[in-house]
Amino acid sequence: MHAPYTETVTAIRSPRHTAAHHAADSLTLETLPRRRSATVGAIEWARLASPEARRLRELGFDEGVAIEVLHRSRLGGGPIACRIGRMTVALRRAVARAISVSPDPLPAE
Amino acid sequence: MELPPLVAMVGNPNAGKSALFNALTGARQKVGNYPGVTVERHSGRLALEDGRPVELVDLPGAYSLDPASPDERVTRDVVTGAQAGERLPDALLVVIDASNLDNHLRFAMQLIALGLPVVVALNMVDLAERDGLVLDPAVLERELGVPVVPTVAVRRRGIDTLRGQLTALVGGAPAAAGMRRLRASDGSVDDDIVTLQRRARAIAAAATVSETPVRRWNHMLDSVALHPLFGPVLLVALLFVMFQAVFSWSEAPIGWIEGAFAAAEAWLKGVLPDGFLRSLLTDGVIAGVGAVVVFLPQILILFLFILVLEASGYMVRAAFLMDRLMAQVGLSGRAFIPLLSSFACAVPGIMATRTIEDEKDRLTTILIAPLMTCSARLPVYTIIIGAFIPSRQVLPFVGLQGLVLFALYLLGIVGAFVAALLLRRTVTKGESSGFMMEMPKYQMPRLRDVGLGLWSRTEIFLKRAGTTIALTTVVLWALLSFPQAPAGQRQVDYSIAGRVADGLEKVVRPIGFNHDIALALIPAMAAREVAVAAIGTAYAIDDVEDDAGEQGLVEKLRGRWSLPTALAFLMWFVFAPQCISTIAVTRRETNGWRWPLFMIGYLFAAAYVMAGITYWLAVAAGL
Repeated sequence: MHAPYTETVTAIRSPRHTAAHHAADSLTLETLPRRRSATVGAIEWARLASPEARRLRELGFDEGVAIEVLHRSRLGGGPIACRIGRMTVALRRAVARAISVSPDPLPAE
Repeated sequence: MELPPLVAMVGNPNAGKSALFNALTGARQKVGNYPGVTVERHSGRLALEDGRPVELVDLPGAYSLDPASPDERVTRDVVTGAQAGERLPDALLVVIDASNLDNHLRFAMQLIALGLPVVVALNMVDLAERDGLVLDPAVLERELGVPVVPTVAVRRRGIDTLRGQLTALVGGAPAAAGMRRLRASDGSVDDDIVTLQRRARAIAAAATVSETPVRRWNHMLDSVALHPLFGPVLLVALLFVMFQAVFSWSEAPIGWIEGAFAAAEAWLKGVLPDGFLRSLLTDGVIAGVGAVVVFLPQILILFLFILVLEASGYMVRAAFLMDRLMAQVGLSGRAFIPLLSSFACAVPGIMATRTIEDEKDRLTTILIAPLMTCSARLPVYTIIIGAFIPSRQVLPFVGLQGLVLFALYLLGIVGAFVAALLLRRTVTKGESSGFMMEMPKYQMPRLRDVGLGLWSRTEIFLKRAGTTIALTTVVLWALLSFPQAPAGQRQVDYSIAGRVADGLEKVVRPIGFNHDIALALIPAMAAREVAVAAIGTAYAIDDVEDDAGEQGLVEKLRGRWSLPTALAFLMWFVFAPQCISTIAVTRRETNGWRWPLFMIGYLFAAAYVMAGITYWLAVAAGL
């Protein structure tokens, strides 16, 4: 008798999650406008080399963390400096491309 | 003889560990090496409240117990008791940056889970407060289950409380039970970073009393330093000022050193009778060592800039700006810092490559580091340029001599980039390595830390001048002085060294080198700057009646070398790996002879080909 109840809860919550994922698919850390605060969505760990993925985790990259792009070289191709938590981290665009973000107008959970 | 208890300081990079270490140990520090790895071991004595001594060891900064570099491996191995030559610490002093709890708490939790007695230093609380962050250490203590002491290392705040906590921790029975539980058979520590990270964020949020967003001056500095246009301009300007200073600030001290050596020589000539001993001391030791020590001011100025740029946090910004360029040749922005240090000396440069995580990337950087124009080449460049390049203005403020020197620097850089490009496609082939770096907050460099850094460089340099270089010049002097030439023969040709050079001359003749150069190249294997001393010694012994001052040497060079030969000689030194110390440090850092031998091979080949091309082009151009 308890199982259907749980499913209902999941059903109610999932549309929001799907929406978040959709938004995340279209916008990554690579394309996030500068100085626009956002939240990290899914990270495609499989696209990253394993030492890179590990370092990214160690630097605090995770779903739901606040993020903001601080600097990006104009010519393209150069690395991106972003604020994650209270740290500034520099990373390359190929890595940034694997990090989905959703800009913040939606209030954080 | 019972060893004092050992306390290991551990924490993330940029947690302010070194400053706290300095505040706790004062001047009583020792720098050594861990056996088998070239990771420095910084240790010092600390007296506990009850007077017992404790050995405090400052471990390399790490992000986790899953090592990505040799430095991080040492940290992991020491705290798990697996490091050869180090006993398991009796307690850990975990240092965390108060304004970066999210991240530093996670590593602290991993360390606490090891089961050793732990005290946490909540460091740089003043900076956190300035950023509008108010923390409650009591919440942290409760959540972590260990004592937490707020500290400001640079102002010595919290140091006594910390010492009190350590007194309480050290002396009880070692609580190593938890450690065994966590340690897997391979020495790695099991944990899940993401889970811990989330827990760390929750604790950080609970411990944060209030957080007022403050427009941080860091961001304002970065908006200039990392600006797409102003950033590179600032970097080039800084490098320009740096190299300018190396030459202009060093003039006076170089004069003093030259004066001191000349006085020593004159004094010896006055008190010693003419003979072999006098010749050995004046022509051998003083001439040789003096020719090298003269470069101490330039090396120190270059290191002063590098240390200040590093301590201020700017160096990482420079790496950020350079990443794109470095990526073109298969390197990362991280390689910029070791390569910049290599302009002073390739030895610390190669040692600085340890921060590069990717093995292939690091190897490539080591292999090209000797192409950066180190200060040991300056004596060679300066004297040859002085003798052969006319002192003429080509543009307002731009002299021809300076332009040639600049071209030689540039050639080294271009050579290094081409070499990196080729190496990355052949011997160090692999996935292009990434660039991911925490950018620390800007900080005012502390006079004391910069001073200590400069002092250790001076010590290394003078030790080298006093041993390797002194010995080489004495040996060379002996090889040049014996056997004594009969009347009518040149001493230089008749000597043992002269005969060895006969063989080498056949090899270097096609690239325009004469017998004297062949002779100078042999001792220059020890260190490039010896080449000048060697030519000086050779001509001094050759023309006994002449005064062997620098002016004299320039005149002698002009008389004996053609311009194409001089240019080829300059080109040779852009590439030739003539430095025993560089080869030795490469062997140590790459754990074997394979890569240093490869380095010697490819650089000598490049030197030979480039010097040859220069010589024949110059001859063809009728120079």
